[in-house]
Amino acid sequence: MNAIEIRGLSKHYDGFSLDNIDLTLPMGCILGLAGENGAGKSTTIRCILGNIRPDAGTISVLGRDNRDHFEETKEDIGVVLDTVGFPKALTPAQIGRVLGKTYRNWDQAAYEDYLRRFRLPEGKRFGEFSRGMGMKLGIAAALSHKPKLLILDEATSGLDPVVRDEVVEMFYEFTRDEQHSVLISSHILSDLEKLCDYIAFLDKGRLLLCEEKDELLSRYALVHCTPQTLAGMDPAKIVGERHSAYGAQVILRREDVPKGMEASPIGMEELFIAMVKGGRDA
Amino acid sequence: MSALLLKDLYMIKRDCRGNVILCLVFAVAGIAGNSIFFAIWPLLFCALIPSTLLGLEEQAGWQAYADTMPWSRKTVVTEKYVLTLSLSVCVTAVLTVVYALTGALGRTGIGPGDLLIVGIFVLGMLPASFMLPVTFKFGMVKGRTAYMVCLMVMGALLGILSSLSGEVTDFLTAGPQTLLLALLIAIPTVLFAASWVLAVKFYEAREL
Repeated sequence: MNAIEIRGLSKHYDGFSLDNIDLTLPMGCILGLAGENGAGKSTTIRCILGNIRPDAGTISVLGRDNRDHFEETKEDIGVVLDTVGFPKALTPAQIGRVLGKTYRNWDQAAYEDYLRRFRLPEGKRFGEFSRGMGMKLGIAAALSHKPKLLILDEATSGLDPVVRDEVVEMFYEFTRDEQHSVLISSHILSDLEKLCDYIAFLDKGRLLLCEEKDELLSRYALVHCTPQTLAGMDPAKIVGERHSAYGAQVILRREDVPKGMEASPIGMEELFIAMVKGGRDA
Repeated sequence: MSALLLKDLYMIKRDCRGNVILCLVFAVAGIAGNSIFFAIWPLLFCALIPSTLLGLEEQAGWQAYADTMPWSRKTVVTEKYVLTLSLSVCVTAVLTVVYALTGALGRTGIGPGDLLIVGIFVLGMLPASFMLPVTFKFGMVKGRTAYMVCLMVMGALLGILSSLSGEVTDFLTAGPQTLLLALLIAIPTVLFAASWVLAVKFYEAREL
């Protein structure tokens, strides 16, 4: 069974369309959804969660269609949205009591433990929290009802690097259980590179790719060369290029790297930028 | 639903203290001062509480967040109707107690017997019946407009009734009180139920 399976998902707005998206998140894996602002990451997540209705396509979550008694499936989903929407008047202690009556599997001890780990004051109103503290509270709440699937929309943004690292480690721990899966959208590609097994690139509502991360990164290479060498390369084989005072950096498929030329491994961010810009040039 | 009610109680405790105090002050002033005008205000303040909560929830992004939790949208809407009804019952209970106490102290109260207390209770549900479906479909700004329009219509009707005060009192005292009581309860109850059905339908179709 897949944790999430999306087939032919389309959603049209004035000036933006999510176009025929197919995505699969296998159980026990982490899928990163990367894309610029406005690429369609949040729209995809909102369709998965049933916040909005797709114009076409089907979405199955934990083996069930998300139009079929989805409130039951949501018992097993932990969600952190880019805006953690707890009412401002509530304190973490009160939120714990409310969520304790909400989720069948709510673990109050785990929730209190997360509050301590994140150094969140139990008696302070949510409205007085900074964005980072709010995110931490959202993460604590999402992890405290023993979910099988975590859906995180820009959940690491607004966190300082130390806490972000701690949170990423927490998500990683979560997936050590092979029944647990994570869908995470972020524009911080280093987080996705650290965490994900699979990666999907979205650009202007189109899915550029959805592949296993290691396989994807091993397929491409970064070549440093002079502008003259670059001029001699077949433009059809160039995935992306960058120029500086010290020469050119070219992204190529491994098999297209000219013999004798030194190729270095490529990072997620470089590949993503090259693909998005390449798509625009085309 | 108990979780949603608990959340709302926490919010009322923090954000709607003013409404609660005003409800109590006007309840006492209305009954003890023998004034229908003041006695109706507690229910209007009370009807504003769900609207205030919906506004705060909208501002916080709660609706989209709550939609990720294991509640159906029908439950989310129903909770607000249960809350509205519970608040109306509470305020009516306060009015009844004050009414009974002033009666025991030898005062005449505000009108011809229990009929007015019931009338105030059901009238108090009317603004919510108009406001909630509009809010669940279009959001808080338009919901408040619906509330204001409803208040204006009710105010105009009360103005007309006040100008006919003598005739109305005579009619209420002499007329078929059981029938009046039944109508007074039935019409707003049907409106309230229809409003709930509509609000559920609107909210289930809304994109959050």
